[in-house]
Amino acid sequence: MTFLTRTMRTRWAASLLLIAPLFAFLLVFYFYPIASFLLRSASTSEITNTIPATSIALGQWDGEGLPDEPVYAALVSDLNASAQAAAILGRRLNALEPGMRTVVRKATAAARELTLATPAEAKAKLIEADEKWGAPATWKLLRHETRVATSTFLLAAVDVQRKADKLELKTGNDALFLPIFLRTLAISFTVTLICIIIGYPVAWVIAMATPRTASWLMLLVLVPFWLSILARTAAWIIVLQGNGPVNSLLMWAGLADAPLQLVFNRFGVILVMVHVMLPFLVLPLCNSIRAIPKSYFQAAANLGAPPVRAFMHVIFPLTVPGMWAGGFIVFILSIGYYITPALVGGPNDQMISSFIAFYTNQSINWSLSSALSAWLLGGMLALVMLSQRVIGPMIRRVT
Amino acid sequence: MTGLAQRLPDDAGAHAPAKKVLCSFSKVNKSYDGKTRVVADLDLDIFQGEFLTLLGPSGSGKTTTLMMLAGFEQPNEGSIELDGTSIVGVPAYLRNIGMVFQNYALFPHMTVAQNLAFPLRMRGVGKVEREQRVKNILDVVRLPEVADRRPTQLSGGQQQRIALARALIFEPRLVLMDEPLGALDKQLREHMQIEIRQLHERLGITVVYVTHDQSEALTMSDRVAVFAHGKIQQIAAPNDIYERPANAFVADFIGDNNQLRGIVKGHEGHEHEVDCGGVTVRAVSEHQHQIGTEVLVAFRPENAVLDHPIPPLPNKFDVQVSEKIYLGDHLRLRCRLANGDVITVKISNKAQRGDFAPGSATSFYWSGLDCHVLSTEIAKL
Repeated sequence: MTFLTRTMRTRWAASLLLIAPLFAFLLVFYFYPIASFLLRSASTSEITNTIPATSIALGQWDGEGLPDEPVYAALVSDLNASAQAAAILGRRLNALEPGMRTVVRKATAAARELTLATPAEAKAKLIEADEKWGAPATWKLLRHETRVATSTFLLAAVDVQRKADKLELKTGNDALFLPIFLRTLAISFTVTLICIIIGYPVAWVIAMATPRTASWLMLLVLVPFWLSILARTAAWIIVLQGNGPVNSLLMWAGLADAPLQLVFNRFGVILVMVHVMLPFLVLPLCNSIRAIPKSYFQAAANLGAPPVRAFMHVIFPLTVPGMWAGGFIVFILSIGYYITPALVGGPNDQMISSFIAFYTNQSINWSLSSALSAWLLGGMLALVMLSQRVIGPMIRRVT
Repeated sequence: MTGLAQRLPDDAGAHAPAKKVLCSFSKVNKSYDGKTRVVADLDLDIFQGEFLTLLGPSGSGKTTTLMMLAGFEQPNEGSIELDGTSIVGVPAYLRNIGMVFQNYALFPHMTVAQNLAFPLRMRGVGKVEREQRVKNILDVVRLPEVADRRPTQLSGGQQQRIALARALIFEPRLVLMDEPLGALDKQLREHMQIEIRQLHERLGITVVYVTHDQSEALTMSDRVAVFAHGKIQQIAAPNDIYERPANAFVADFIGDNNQLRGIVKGHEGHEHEVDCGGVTVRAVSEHQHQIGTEVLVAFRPENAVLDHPIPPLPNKFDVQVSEKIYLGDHLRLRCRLANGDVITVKISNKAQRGDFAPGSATSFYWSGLDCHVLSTEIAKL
């Protein structure tokens, strides 16, 4: 017994040792960067690093009325410490409360003349510079953003705003991200559905064809894989543009009087995405159709099922796992898709990834882009788990 | 199996009552590539209520014959009639022929009950009757408790029985079985052989059974059709196949057989005298072979007689034992004749005299009726 456990423990250790390099690699180059990026969504370090003294001073304030004079003095010294600090603070606070950039800029200007002032003087001058420094709400905001963590960006990413200590959902024209999340879901769902409708017959024909024909057909499906996605997308723009071959053909056939808008709109985005995603559906589906033993087709016929009913009752249910797997890959890839909407979509066809890219590269609001990513990742994980729960048992029954 | 029972060939098969032909193949040819024929000029009558086994090595055409019967393959030439009407070109789903598949082909996404109800649903049988018939057939195969399970939750033997039940539930005119016991272990296989046989007798169904296992064919069948090279080499009751093989292939394929090459020296009715490299063997044959033709003489190892019998048996082989294999209930000896030919002898362990040590010399006797003259030619394409 002890011998057995010892052998097993040795084996355990050996296998752990074998996977250790992969594990370390994933940890260092995959999980750590993702985790640290996602943590930014709740991090306040951008502000606390900018105004360190004020952050510490505000930690001792009880939040009632106005803070004590030393807090004002700390802010003055922080603002004087670096010119950049003021800019960062202004930008970040402005994202939370419009108008704060000006308030900070005024404080910065006032602080320059207060290098040797007493705390009392500092307080008076700052309030004189902008009355907002005499309002408890401003300080509450500042205190909220200098705590250990903030929920502001995670809430903002789903259009929830904190107003006077109450959470409020932005609606109508104020709503910013929720409609984009919904649009992302809608586009991904449409793309997945169209892929299934187009891909199922393709997979079926490939699976049923003789090996020779099947390999040629498979080649046709796979050729797009070998082409750069940029080249593919550019090709679609040429094909679909106003004076492109499709429009020329439509007008020549008399089906259109003027060139149709086929690209730089939702139609173009979905069309090109379906083209890009189709192989991801066809491959698993084709495999799952091929895996059905010939005898099931024979048995269905033998038991009295004409071809259509045999398909409906016997064959189709057995292909559901493959269809599900393919559809799931397409859906997940579509949700995070970026390049196609950016190239062939209009402003109203941009998906959530475009906004993440925008906040990362242009607006340099990493907290917000990380909050959006966190929601995207969380949503997808939830989706995966839900599908495991709901579809998993159904699929296990079949396989 | 046969002991020393000495009988002349029967004219009739094993079962005497008047037989009605249920299904008949005539001049059926099948080729997949248009060049080599898998089934050639096949004529075959299947009688109502019989258990017919198609036996042969792989590639002999037995499975193709079954597939043509089921409707999964169409013959290139010839006709197949079922109940007097041609079924060539009739799609499989209209044939009303039950089939048990090699891997059972139970639908994994349906419960046992749903699997069994499937053929009834396809025939528009109402729900109440469906449930009743599913219950009945589960009783017939003695598995009433598995109705709500999935096929994957059943043991191999249970799956086999459910596959059988599904092939029977819609009361087909004919039940086909394509090596249905191949996936089971030996013990279960023997058990299922008896069970299938009993079901056949109890329900009076007509069964066409395909196997490459000769002992299975002999145990279960009313008649066995031995296939080779796309042709039926012999079709007869199991005991006829075993005791009176029609040609060298059948003799070789069914059971152990010693075969000696020889020249016909003379004949009188069924009896022939054959010179096998110096040893004169007296043997029987249903056909007469011309004097001087080259033939094979076949005789079974287990028909060897050890002692000098009274009255004397005509065929005496003086041999030298070259190998002795102990098999519990019997001994198997490899023996060398004076002319160098090797024969096998199987003797009961109880009847053993002497120890037949390798190298020792001894003699064995065979009755003339246990030796068969066979043509060297077998039916080929």
